[in-house]
Amino acid sequence: MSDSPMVLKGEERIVQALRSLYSSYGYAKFKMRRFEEYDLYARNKDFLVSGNIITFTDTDGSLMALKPDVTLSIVKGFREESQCISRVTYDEKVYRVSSSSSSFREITQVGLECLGDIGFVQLGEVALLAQKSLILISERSMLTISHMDITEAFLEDISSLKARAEALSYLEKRNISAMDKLSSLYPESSEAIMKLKALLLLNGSNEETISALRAMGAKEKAVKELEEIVSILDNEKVRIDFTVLEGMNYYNGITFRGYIDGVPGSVVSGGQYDRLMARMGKKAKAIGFAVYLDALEKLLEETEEYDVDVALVYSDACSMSEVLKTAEEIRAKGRSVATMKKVPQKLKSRETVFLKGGENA
Amino acid sequence: MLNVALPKGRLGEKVYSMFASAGFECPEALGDSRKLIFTNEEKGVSYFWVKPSDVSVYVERGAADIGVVGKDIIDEYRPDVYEILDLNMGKCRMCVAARKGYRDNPGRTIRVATKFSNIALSYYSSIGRDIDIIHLNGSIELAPVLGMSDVIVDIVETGTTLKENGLEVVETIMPISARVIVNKAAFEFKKKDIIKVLDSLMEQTKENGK
Repeated sequence: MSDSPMVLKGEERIVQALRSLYSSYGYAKFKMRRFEEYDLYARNKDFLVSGNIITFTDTDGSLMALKPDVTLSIVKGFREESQCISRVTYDEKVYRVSSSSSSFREITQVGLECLGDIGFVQLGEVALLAQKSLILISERSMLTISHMDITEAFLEDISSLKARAEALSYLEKRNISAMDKLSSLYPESSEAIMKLKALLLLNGSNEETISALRAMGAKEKAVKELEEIVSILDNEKVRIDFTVLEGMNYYNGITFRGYIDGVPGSVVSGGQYDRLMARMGKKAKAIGFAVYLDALEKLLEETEEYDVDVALVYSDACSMSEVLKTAEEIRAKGRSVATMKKVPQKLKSRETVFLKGGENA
Repeated sequence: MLNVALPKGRLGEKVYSMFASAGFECPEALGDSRKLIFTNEEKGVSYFWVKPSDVSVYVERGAADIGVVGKDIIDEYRPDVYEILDLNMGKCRMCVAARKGYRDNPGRTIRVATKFSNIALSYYSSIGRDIDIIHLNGSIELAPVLGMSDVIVDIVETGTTLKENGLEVVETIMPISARVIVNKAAFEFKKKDIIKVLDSLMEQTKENGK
């Protein structure tokens, strides 16, 4: 990285920095194929952000898919060893339909997964890494964190399954008005629904939120976990937020999402996914997150003022060795050079050097 | 600076005055000027007037932090934004309408003309009907009159346009009203201003409801 940091594009620079951050925590690089058997995704469709997958037929007739997700592949390949922890990091291209353009996009995703006999130490470490990843990208960042056990306990107090599903979707959309309406429609569950609404109105400091949760009678074990995890993070850049919801069939416990000022959607998303592990026949627990680099495009727009320092314009009278030698001499002074016979109209160079009456002569 | 996307038209003007009461005035915004963007540096607010159906795009993509948009647009485009508040204004209904005396034949595919293809698709799939969507951009009422479609799925406010074209409401899909939407990242980084607006709007809508 130290060779020529200037030449690396913003995205590459971030990938490198994240990779070295994760490796300093003992995460080993995991390289995988760009495609996977379609069946893996068909069985876990709800886990994916979008159900659309690019498929093709392999030479043996089996249906394959270009990876829309990395976690499933890592879980599939995970071999259980008792009391051990496996830490892997990846940077991969995934293929997804973006919600705004409804067409397939190639997305660079960097992330990590911590699988095995994990405990509270690892949960804290991964949350810390999620926050560090955000700060590494921008100082103006925010990690929003939630504990699904708290939300779930309130949801379970809603007796009607239909109302429960609606409450969940309103929670995710931060839809305060709809919670009121729902509570009047289902008076028997109104207490639980009002508690969910109260979660949406927790806009104070993390400390205030924690005491409000205790006052509401939220599950103490979960509140305690949340409190401890928040205490090890940079308090200015973390906020407890119960709209952070991942699929309840896959995730449990701690979940989080990260935002960066100037980027419209979330940049980091992840959490504990013991249920996905169980669904895939693994006894171990797991937590992980991904950083979506495509989301950063807007932030990383770096338009160079000049295409090249020196445009070296030569004529037919120049020999090859002469042109290349002159160019090398200029480069030796630390400037970039592009050789050409004619200067393209749109080229912006700091300086144009004419060799032996090139072009205009 | 709080960036607000408002729908052009009467609803947008009403909403502007609610934002102004919340302490984010920018009197110029209501003038007859053809300008599309109005800023009040002192109050730290910028208003843009945009096509109502585009408000959600501006907010989702972060060009605006907060906006006001009909529930119809939210359900049609499903933007990834927070849908925080129902203003109980601009109320109407999303309906299925057909020519007077129309009888549905469940044995065949139903032809549906609409501007709201996604809403129509999800409504008919929820009742298990196969439909042929005819996407139109305006004058939807014409389609059944000319026999191009069996029914239309459209917004009904008073029902006058339907009546004048010999159509009637067959089914109400959902009630519609104006909603406050907020960009997810803006909620984190401009929280103070956004909460200030929301608290005041909540207070004002309570009064509206009375």
